[in-house]
Amino acid sequence: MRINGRQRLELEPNLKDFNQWPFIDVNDLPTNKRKGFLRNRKIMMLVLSGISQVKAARRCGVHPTFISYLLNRCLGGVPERTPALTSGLVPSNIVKSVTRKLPISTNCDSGARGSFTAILLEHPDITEHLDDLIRKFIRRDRRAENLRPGRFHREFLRILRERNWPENRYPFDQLGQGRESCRKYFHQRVQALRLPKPSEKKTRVVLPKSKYAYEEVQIDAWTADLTTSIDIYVGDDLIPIGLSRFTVYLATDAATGCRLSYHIALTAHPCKEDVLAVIEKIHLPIERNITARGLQSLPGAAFPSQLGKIYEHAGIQMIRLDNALAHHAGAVREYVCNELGATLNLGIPGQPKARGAVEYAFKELAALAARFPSATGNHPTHPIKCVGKNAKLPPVTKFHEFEDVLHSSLASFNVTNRQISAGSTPLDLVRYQMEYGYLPLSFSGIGKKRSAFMATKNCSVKFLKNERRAPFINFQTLRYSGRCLNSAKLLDRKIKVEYDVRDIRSIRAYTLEGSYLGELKAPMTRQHFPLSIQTFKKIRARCRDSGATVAGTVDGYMLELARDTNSSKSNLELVRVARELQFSLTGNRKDEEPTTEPRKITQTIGRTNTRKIVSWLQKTPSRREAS
Amino acid sequence: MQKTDLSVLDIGAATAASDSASFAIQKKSDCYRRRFLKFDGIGVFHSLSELLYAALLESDALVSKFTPQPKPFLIRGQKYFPDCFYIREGNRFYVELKPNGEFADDKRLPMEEYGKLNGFEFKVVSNEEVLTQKVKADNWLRIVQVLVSGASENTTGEEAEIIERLKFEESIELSQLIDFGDRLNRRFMEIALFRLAHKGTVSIDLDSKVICPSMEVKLCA
Repeated sequence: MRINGRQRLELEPNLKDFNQWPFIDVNDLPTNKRKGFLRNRKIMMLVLSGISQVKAARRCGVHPTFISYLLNRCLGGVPERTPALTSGLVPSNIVKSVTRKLPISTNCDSGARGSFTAILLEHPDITEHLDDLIRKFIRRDRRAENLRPGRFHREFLRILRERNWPENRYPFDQLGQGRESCRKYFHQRVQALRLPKPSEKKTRVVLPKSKYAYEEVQIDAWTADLTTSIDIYVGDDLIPIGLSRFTVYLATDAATGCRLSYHIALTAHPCKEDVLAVIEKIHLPIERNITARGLQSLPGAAFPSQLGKIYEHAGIQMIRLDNALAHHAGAVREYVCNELGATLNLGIPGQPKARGAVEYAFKELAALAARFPSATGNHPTHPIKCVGKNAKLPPVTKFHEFEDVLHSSLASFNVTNRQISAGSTPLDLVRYQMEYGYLPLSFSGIGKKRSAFMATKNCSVKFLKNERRAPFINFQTLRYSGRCLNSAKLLDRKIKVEYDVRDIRSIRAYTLEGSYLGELKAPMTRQHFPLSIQTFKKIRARCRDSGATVAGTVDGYMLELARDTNSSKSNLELVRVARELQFSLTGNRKDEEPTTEPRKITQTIGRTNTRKIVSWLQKTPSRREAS
Repeated sequence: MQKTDLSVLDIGAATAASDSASFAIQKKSDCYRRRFLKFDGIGVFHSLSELLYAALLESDALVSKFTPQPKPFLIRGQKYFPDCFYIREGNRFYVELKPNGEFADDKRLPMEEYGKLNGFEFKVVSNEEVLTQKVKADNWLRIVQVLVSGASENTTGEEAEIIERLKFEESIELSQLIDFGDRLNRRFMEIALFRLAHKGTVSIDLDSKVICPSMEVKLCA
């Protein structure tokens, strides 16, 4: 039942106070409606203040019936629903939905307004059929018709005829046969169904963010948005070769924003060794001589591990990683939980915002990479992507120069005053909390060498009588032997071997009870060059795929990579292997210059391939040429 | 054995379910892994509440052992993994952590019934209840880290020294026991203090405040 304006005022007397009505600013209305709105508002205020309708009409120059119309428009309607109120004062404003009261027209005996909606309301099966058509069209169903308003209208008429709809009733009695109503309905439903479904809101407990340094360390990988090059010697000529995009692993402290460590993985698909490297570097002082021309770090730029001995034992509470398969590796889990005593959190897939601090750091690195002419952008059609003739040549940006830039920018960030931390630098915050608060330390690394790359495995000691050879163990498809195995007690027994995954030429053997037995060595054919498990797996896969036609040794693998320098991915692998060998030959960190004399190593090993590689390694990748 | 619709694959043994069995759920959930003192090996926790609950169990000196993700029960042909199992004063408890403590009756009722028959208690704890004790749990995670990393250190002498000092003084500040100027070399005192707190010999007010040098250490009654 509908009520008029006067009845509404009796039911809800508080509406007699115009100040209780919603406010509409005149300036927000179109210019042509402002005059009418102001007049209507004045009329309404007069009527509500108790002046009679006739007097109010006389004062405002309108007919008294207009005032009744205005009252009903603003206050009338169904009692349960909120009336239009102030919006009813705006001229030509539609304040109520169109619902047809009269029966649907027959032989045009009444108007057509609201007839289409009335049909849909009275016949839900027709509505369902039409909506189903639109839904299939939007979903791009295989059997769906590509709908247009005209076709949709014809379908509507067909459904009506199918239901024996009288030919003299709406829409058949109209000239347009309800075409416009159908068109409007079609567009409205298409828009409504294309809107994303509102996600179910879950009540979540908002936990306070971490406040203390090392409470939460976020680690993630970022594929550098640029290509670089490196100079190698072919004969006596120095030739630049292009390198494909590599991956940067970064560890960031969530509370202070401090950059704790980074690691460059020379591949697009990092493995567990890369994850371990970045975690281990959090506690290792990262030193680097910046050689790139014109590049200077801010004074005092450093990583926290360089601040003192105590920072090398800082106890990390939680390490947050994403759900990549490499992060599920047992070695990562063992190192983080057993050695560091920290919590390892592998987040929910596809939710990078859970690691906001490190993602923010990547945003800054991406901006840095975008400055280089060889930037690729983060998608194939990015406007800054290097195209045309420049794309065919090796980039001018050298790989070691970008390493310098990366190191310098990350270290400099740590000594930059940040507004978010009230003007303090990230390094100051870490230092302050360590000196004046209580940050737990991890004592497990004191007095012993702690390495993320050390691993253990149980192996059986074997002895084949018919071969008449020394007892051995099988490890990584190789036979390892040593004097310590020449004991009848050990035959067919299990022993524990400890090894460094970066070089498995020699491994240490222990009994299962933990007493040291001695050193075991890989076959002599594997002793010339350092052999990491990562490289050895690649060599084995290469041999398997080629049907064992390629050399299965490190030197053979490397020379093969050096021979074909057309592929930037292969070049990146060449640099990775070269650095691995350089590191092991010189015993230095990868970032430092080799120090051992090449002649000494050549004399020790004394093979043609070996000589070539050693001399090549001493030259390439070279810093001296670049600087 | 009494024939019921609830049969048990393995009960009472405080061993965790195999790691590979729950790998699929670890890939999907917000998975946490951590070493604790009252559980051998690396514990797997499928939410932050589970991790904090384990830390709270560590803080309770009466709890002798706990197991996150214990071996499953078979309820109407379906495997059900409770979130935690622990032993407190010889009594066995199985715990399920749920938002608002709401847990479906089709699993809760058989578990409660079976618990009565087999001498354990099944409890449903709300996540919110655990999260309100986050400060305490975080403090205990710090302590556990120190104790795990210093597990090989012998601190018998230092423990006796702390107890002796506390017998004469009612309370001592943390900074008087731990040498904050040289923590690496004087680490034994720090480890000894936390070992005593873990055993329940000394008490530190860790419920509402993050560990700081001004905290007071008292001897438990």
